[in-house]
Amino acid sequence: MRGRTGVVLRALPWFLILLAIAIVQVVRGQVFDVVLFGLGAVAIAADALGVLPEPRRVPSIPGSVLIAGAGVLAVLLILSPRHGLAEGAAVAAVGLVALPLAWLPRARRTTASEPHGPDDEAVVRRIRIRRAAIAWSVVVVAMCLVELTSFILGRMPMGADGEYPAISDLLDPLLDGWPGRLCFIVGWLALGGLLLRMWRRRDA
Amino acid sequence: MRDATIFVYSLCVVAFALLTLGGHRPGLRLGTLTELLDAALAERAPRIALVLFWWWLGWHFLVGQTVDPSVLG
Repeated sequence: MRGRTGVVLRALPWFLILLAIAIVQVVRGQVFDVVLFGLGAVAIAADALGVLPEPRRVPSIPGSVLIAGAGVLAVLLILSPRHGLAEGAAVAAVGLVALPLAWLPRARRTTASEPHGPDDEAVVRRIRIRRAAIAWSVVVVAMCLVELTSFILGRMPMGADGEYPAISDLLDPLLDGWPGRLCFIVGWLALGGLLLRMWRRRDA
Repeated sequence: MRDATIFVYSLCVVAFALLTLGGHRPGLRLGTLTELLDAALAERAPRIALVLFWWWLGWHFLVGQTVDPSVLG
């Protein structure tokens, strides 16, 4: 589906996902998280409806600069006390760079991963991607449902003794030690770099 | 129930690993994770949602309140 209606329909699931996360954060009583995901949902809706002006294209940042920056950040994050001011400033700085970059439009796609071959090849590729999208969505939704169920049951008397742990409850103790923090920080920055590079690598 | 809950989380992690590997098996006709992200990130809405959630994970586990105090406990 093309045109504004198509844009709105494709943005709708992502708007609903952020809205659902914001609602869960309301239950958690985390005001910052509510505002963050709420603003994200509003921004997606406004963009899909064409309310916001179209920004310029994403500037080209060499991969080596991204890797060097991630390395410096990783050292800073590992050395800073968890939940401390320096850790907060470093993570906030990452967000202040990453989120505006995510907003900027992607350059026109020109490389080999975009189907240039016969129509049949493009159709087969679309089918493969659609199957992958369905499979990944099923597992992600299942995991979210388990997390949500644990979150709800954990707030009831039967779950007060940790019988229904959320993922945060399980990972939190691991991040208190440096090996766990090292793994998390490296993995987190690598995933962010992957997400940022994925739509930048075809810049003309 | 704690062990059962952890077991289900573990199953999900195993499923993620299998899907990642399965994308590289031509016989399965399943797109790779890279192809999937490539397609998803072409649009702004999924890009904003995924990058926002990714950033929040860092904030949640490194800076913010990671574990909620028990409401009733």
